[in-house]
Amino acid sequence: MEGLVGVVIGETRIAMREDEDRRATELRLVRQAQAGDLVAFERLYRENERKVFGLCFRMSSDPALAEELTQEVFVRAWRKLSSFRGESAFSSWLYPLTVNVALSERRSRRRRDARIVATEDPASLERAPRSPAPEAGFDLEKAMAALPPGARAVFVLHDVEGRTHEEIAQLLGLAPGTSKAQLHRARRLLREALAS
Amino acid sequence: MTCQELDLRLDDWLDGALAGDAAREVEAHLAGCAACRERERQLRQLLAHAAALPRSIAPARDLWPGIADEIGRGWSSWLAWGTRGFQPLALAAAAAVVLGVAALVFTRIAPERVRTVTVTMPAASPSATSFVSGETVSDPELAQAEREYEEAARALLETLQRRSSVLPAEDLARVESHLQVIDRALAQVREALVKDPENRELNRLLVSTHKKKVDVLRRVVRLSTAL
Amino acid sequence: MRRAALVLATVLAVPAWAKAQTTVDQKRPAAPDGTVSIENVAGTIKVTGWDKAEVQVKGTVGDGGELSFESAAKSTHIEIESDRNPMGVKSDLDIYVPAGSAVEIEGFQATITATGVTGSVKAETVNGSITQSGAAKSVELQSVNGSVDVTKANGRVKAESVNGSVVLHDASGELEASTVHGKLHVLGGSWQRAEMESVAGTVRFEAAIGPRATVSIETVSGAVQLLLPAATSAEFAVSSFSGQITNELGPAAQKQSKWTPQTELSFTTGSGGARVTVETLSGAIEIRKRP
Repeated sequence: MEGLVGVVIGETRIAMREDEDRRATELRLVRQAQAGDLVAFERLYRENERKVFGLCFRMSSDPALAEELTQEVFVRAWRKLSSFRGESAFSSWLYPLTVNVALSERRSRRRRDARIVATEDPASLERAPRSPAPEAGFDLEKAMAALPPGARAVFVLHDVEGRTHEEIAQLLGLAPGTSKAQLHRARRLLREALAS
Repeated sequence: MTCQELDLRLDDWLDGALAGDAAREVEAHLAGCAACRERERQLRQLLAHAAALPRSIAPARDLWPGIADEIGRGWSSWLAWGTRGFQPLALAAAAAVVLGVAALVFTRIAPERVRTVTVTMPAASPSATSFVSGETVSDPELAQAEREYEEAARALLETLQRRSSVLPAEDLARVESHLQVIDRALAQVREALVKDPENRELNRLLVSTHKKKVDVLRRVVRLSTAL
Repeated sequence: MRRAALVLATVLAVPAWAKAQTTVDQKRPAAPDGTVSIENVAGTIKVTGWDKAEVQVKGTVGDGGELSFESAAKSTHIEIESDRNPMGVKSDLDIYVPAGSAVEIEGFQATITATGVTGSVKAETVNGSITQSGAAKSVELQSVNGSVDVTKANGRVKAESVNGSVVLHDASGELEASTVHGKLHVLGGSWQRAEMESVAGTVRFEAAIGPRATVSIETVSGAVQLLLPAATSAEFAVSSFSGQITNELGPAAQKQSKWTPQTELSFTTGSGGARVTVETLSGAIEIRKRP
């Protein structure tokens, strides 16, 4: 028994140290990027692109739009980089920014160009991200795409991402009661769609 | 508790947000109601699938170039103004950097047929030794730099013409007329260089006039990517 | 009953971004020295510096457009977004920013005015003039078809236009200015460094220069008028390939060789110290005493 506890403590220490190392490396990259180093920023991008794209895709249900939104997130992150103080993980700092961008269905005119490029390449319309979910999961994604955006946003943040209603209220600028109401609506619509 | 009331409480109960008495009420109703039990089962299944959805998804293509391009838009004119003194190496470097900028601005769209701005050159003169296709000066390095600048300008103009669907035709026409002013000036400088090829000031003037042309194009292209 | 109330509550909770507006008036707190970036493709952008730690956006947003107004700790971003060709969405924005802000403005078919900003002003447009006034420490203004006017900036000044004029009034510091065929006039102020270039526009420099200043003017066919205070101490290097040189401050220009029309002039006034270089291809050069 004692041996096992020792191993667990040891592994926890290693994990914490790895975590600290990761945070230290990340902070170093951020400082470099804040000084204008685009290569450092690219590394930050590589480490965070999947989570950001994942969230954008879940919230928009549209892979092409999610690509644009992801780019928008990182461009804005670059511009606001000076406001990151290292008090949290970089991915945590990106989170509200990602939610904000994903919610704005109104496209920034800057992304118009990217869209023109994308639609000129017919293959791009068929592209879907690799989503290794079981078949039931795939039906769920289709049903989520049919949800009204407000309800989908709350569903994604609560039931997929695991946020609390207080966090969601802050992220989306809603009252917590509204967040609960939206979640109820989303779950009901999804349940009905999947049961039929 | 009615089935309707349960429906409203179910979410909170499943999320573990219901306390003591309220939770017991829900459990009691569920114990005695098959329809509600079915609803609860479906909801649990939905939540299980939702929680199993991957949150990290790789996009189908590399998004970084688009991001870097957009960020690059914010750079102010980082090409040094006016080259002081004719230094061949500096020139080649500047030209290479200019081309890099042109490539950065260029989108992934395949280029259409290009309408090049042609400049008519003076006829061969006594001191001409290596005029190539009537558009270069005698110094080979300067000629090379000229070619690179012209190439960059051509690429940028192409991009602008490509955007004719969003860029008003009169704006494109105005840009082209500005370029003609610059091209006339370039012709004048080249003509003078024919008479006095070693002239340092003229060499410098030629380069900085080329740079001006590329700068104007670069600026308009950059601002038009916003459309 | 409860269900109806729930549905009503859901319907009412529409996020702010979904509402379309024509008149805008919004305010957010902002750092006194933060960045304020503004993008409006068409219309007018008027920025005024004030002493509040707030950014306020007033004005009208064109049909089909929507105001995006976001802020982070030290940066504010204001943009007109649209889901159609933005050239057709004309918005007139009246924006107040903390005077110490670093302001960045971008437009295409837009006229830009910046007043009373003492931090820095960076503005770009294609069809539209840019007018700046106030003791900004750094000014960078670029237009293509519009004029650029700078008044009282004090620090680093960069001003460019292609077809429009560039005129500086009583500004000082270090200058980089350029036009293609618009006139380039520097009137008043005192300069430590000034680089002026034009292809076909007239360059007129009528200002004072510091004791160790470097001033250079270069044109292809544009005329050059250099008016300096009589007490200026500087070394001059002036040359033109085929333009006429008139010099009131020193000796006359000499033809350099019988093969080319080039004329050159090198002379020193006072005890030297500053350096002035003027070069043209065919533009006439006049060097005179400033009255």
